[in-house]
Amino acid sequence: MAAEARANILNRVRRNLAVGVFRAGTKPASFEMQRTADRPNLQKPPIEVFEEELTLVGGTFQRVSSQEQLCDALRKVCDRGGYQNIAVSQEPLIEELQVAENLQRFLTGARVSKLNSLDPMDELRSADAGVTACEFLIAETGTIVLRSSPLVPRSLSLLPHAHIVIATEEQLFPTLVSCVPKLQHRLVQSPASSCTTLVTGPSRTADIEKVLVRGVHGPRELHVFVLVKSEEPR
Amino acid sequence: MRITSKAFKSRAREKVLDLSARQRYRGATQHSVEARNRVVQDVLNWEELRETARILKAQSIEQLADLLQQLEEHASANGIHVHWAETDQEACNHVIEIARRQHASLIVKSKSMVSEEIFLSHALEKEGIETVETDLGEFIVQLAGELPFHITTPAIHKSREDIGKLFANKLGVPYTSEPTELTKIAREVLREKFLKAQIGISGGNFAIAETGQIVIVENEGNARLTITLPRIHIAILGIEKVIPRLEDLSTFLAILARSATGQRITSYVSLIRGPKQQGEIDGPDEVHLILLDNGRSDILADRKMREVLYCIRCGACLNVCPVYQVVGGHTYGSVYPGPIGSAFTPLMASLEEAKDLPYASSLCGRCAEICPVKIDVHHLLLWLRRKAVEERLSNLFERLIVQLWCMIMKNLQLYRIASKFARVLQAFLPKRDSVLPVPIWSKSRDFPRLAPKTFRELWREVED
Repeated sequence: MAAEARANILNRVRRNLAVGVFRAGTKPASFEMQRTADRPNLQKPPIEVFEEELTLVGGTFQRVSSQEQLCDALRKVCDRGGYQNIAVSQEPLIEELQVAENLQRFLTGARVSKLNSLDPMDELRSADAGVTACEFLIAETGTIVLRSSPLVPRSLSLLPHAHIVIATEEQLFPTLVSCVPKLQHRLVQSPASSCTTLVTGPSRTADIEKVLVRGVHGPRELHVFVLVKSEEPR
Repeated sequence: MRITSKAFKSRAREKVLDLSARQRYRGATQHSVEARNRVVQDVLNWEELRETARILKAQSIEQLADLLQQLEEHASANGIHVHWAETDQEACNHVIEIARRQHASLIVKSKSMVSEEIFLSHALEKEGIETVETDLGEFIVQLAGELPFHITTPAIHKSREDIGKLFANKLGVPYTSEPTELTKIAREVLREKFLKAQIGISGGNFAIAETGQIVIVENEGNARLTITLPRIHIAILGIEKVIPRLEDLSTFLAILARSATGQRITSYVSLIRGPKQQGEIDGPDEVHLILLDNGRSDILADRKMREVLYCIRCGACLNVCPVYQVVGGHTYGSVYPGPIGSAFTPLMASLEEAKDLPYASSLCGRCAEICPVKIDVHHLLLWLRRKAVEERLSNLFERLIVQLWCMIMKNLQLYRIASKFARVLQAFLPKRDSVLPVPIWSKSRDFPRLAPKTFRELWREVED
């Protein structure tokens, strides 16, 4: 029966399309969105555009130039939010920066987990902040591109109250269009990923009288830290 | 598709009198249109963007069969189970079969027009499976036992007080009318459901033939939870949702978010590649994709109407429609309300069942003007009116009047005599009536008085 439905649908589609085209058109060879200088102001350096756009959709942005600076900034965010259970991914950048170790050292009383226990889902459920790296940043919309992998579960950026992202300046692309070839490449090259997600700001809704409310089902807070190469040592 | 569009006229007549509701609809729709206009303004070549999106959709539809086969091949290679459903019943059966196999007792759903179209929740409830809508608006509408009022904001007809009372009644929480508090309540109630559900059901905004990915666009994060936490994920998509390449997605994302909610991009866009991969901690063990026809392939046979399948369900045409603004979403008696719904519903059900819908338009064309994929909505409605007449669905009286009118309009002598006659007749009516009492017509419309002199008469006077 299942095979029959498939054949019937495809046959019907082919037969009915054969009656011809009413109004055809051809796609312009290349299309590029042209925008006014106001938003996003693509004349500016991409990192500034990213900051502006992310802030406008309700995220926070901080540029850091060293591991110490990052630790300091992370600690402040976690202190302010009063996070008691912090879950951290095992992605290379996060490991390299020793985020989990540093957080554990500076946050007295908080539990920092790298999700390597026997029941990582249980830890994810009780986490109030999740720390991850990301694949790319997209300046024009202030978007973060996440890819699930054995090192970073999908729930880590979804279940906790706050999502904290650590990225580097090299991951930044000016537009989504310019990022697509890379995205496609990753898809083919490293297939151990069930889902790619573009995240732009915290979870939001306007379903009640069009009033904007942040933090419906996903995180209410989104904090992004971007490591830049500093010219002068701090 | 279960529709009750036959009652459109009587419902509309009632709705027109409800001034406070009209004010609310107007406020909400205007809010959306303004937000949309603000973000459209900063795209200098918006018209070019629309044209590009339209052509991409047109091309996708023209090669639909090939793209569907490609999609099936690539999705299957990624580990997604692909099912085909000719009818709503078949689609529901696929879901029920999967649910039975899993002994599922609780299903979470993210917002999906297609699942409304096939009355899935109803079918699952009959099976004794609890099905919970998780999009905030849909959750509210489900609690109230109603159909969605709008494609993108389903509960926009309810005031915060209505929702507060509904929550207090149905969820047993203390009454509040604060949107932030109400949202928090929904978050808590639904989070529990997410963690317990065995199956998550979603729709999908696009399916990419080249990569086999299913794309879901949303703001709340409920779709992400739906496709991540339960062990099984079932995505139901109309066959028209397939697009050729991943690179085409950037065009559609840019145009969809702007048209639907006035955002440059939505908070979340998920590209589902397949089930949980080896080593991954979360994600579903099984992903099912149900490709639903339910009348869509038949629409292709009408070359002109075919373009209703370009629709990306942004809801912009609802917001600008002067009819929708007055009568609201439920009056249409269809899952798909508003101008595009009026074009789509008669094709999905039958023209006879929904014959009033093509007339639920002033033909002002604002729907076509705002449509991000340039669907010529009001001309499609006009085309359906023509079909309705050809199928003799209009009443006898109307047909006679129109025939008489045609006869008069085609013959100059007859026209002169008739207009003279009408002018003489109207002189007997009281002067204070500025409109004429023409039976049936003037019950809901004006029939203005004829001017005392015709244009030709005036012209002659000027010449003299």
